[in-house]
Amino acid sequence: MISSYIGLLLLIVFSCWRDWGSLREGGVLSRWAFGSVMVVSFGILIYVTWSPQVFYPTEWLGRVLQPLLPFDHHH
Amino acid sequence: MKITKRQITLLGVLYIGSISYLHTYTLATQAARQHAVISYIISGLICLLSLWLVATTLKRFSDRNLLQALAGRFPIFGRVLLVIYLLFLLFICARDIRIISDFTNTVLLNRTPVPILGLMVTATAVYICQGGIRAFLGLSEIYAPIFIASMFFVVLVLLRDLHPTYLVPYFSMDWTGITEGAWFVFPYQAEILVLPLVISGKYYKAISGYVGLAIGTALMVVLLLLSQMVLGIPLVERLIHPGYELIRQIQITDFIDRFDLLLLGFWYPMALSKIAFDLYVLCYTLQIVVPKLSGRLMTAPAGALAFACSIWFFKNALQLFHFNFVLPLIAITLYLVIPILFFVMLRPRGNKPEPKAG
Repeated sequence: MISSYIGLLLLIVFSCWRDWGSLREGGVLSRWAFGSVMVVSFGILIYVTWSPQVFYPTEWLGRVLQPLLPFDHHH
Repeated sequence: MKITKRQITLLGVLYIGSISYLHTYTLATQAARQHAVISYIISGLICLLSLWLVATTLKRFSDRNLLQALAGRFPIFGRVLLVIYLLFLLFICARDIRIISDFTNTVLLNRTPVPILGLMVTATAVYICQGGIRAFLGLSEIYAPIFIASMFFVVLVLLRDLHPTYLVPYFSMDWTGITEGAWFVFPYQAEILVLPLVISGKYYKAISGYVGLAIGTALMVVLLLLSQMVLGIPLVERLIHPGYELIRQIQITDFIDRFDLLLLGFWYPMALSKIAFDLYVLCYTLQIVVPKLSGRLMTAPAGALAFACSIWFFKNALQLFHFNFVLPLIAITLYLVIPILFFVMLRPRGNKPEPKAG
């Protein structure tokens, strides 16, 4: 998993370097949005890999929506 | 930049005719067995209806696309709807990244961890996406025709291995199963609706969407029939990637040992382009919701988020596969119910000028 963290961090740094000019001209909102979304993404990766109990949204959604399905899955 | 009808058609073929080969065959065959082809046709007709609804609505706004029209006409409600689409597009992008990563891990690079594969796929998609619509049009013009030509080649080579008797009985149809098969296939075919959402009414011609849908569906149906007639129904309904197992059967004397790798080489860029277009639509929609944000600048963060979500949303490859039972419920709401709402709500206003979007 260390390789995933390093890989994502390297790509984030590379994106920042590549888009540095656009970030400077883009305005405060764009810079904040860029930074926040990157941080949130890294945070999600750490949560999924380190947390002892992970909440999987599609698993939960599957359980919630199962009664509404028109077909009974017996396959 | 002018977009021609042919480019839109090829983009449609690329968009619906790449990832869908991986998951839909097993589900459709489990439900409809040898009549899964009819499921694709029924689902295609429903998608055609949605496409017609959206295209008719788009004709009312010649200078913008549907998302801009929605945000312009209903600033608050429109943006709420766009946020829902945004979340769904994020899900689709994450799902596609995970499907490709799992597939690559299973058949090509067994020892490379899935997150690393996801990272590589996402990075490639981000860089394609940063090329803008021009990059997608270029890729679709190169790879879609090559892929269609390779399908002809696959049919020719596998002709001697076809067993039409695998489809017996031909006319004893289980309509409940066929409808269930259409239920599974619909979310994948209906993704073509993204084209009229993001392409301006000035360039989007309804016929291009219809032809793209028809060609994409025809390719899916051809590969499905080949899989069923070569591998047999019991195998197709149990394999996770029957389309890939089909092309593994291709043998041209002793010429090339892994011919499937060559065909994967033609298909893989299409799959990467599809993910890149998912990202493009995601960033485009984000820019309409928050006009002060630069869509191009948000490509890399959106890619990072989609990658993180691809790891988070799905526990493993099997849970990803099983979510296909529930996904149609969400897809029908967004790809059928909401286009009907668009058709009803976004009517011309007579003499009042249209407010500018964003």
